[in-house]
Amino acid sequence: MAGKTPKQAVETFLAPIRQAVSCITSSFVISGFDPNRRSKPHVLTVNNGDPVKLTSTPTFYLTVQMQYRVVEVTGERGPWKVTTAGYNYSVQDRLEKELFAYHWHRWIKPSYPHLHVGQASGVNFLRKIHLPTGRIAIEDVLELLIEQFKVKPIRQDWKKTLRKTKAAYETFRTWA
Amino acid sequence: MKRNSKNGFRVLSKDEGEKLLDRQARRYLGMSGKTFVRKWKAKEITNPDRPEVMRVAFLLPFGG
Repeated sequence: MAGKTPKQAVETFLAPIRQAVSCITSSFVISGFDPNRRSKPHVLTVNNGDPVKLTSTPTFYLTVQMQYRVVEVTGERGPWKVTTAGYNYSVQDRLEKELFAYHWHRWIKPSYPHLHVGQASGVNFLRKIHLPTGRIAIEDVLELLIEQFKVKPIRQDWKKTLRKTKAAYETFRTWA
Repeated sequence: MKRNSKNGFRVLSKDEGEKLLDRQARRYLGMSGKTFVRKWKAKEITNPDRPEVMRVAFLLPFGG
């Protein structure tokens, strides 16, 4: 996401994520951007870092965590841009035990984006396996939860909202 | 960017970030945030890809 200043780039990055997340929770998106250490990774999380209890039967919880960096770039994506440095989208059962999680973290192996199938899913032999995936957008996870896990959205225009915020994300991403 | 912004996002101060890391480290791993940072840097955390470790490790930038 581009901006004229690092701060603006961060705002441009956070706003659509907040909008996307607002489809399932009114919890705040929290970040820790410090302009004095902008080259270092920053954190984005939801609900004060706690799992979000979703409106569903059975009950599910969702943890959203991302890391991002603010980088200087040239061209229409600049002069400042936020680039995602990792994510953890974890879906848990009513006891907050992990069912599955999409991970991407360059700082520990494996560094490719992957899916974990958690113990709570009942498929124990996959617990330590990192199933490769493409890069996953938060919108993909939210849509999955609403469409297939029957999580109740808290806004009626959720489909339009997710389409819009994902389009913004795809316009500015630097990977295919 | 303001705290409690109408945009629905909130930017934490350094102190607030450290507190959040500390709270989650205690919740998921039973140790303080400072201990987690030290152990992580020393590679003393076993199976770092565990869900409970990952949830704290993602907050490491709050640890300075």
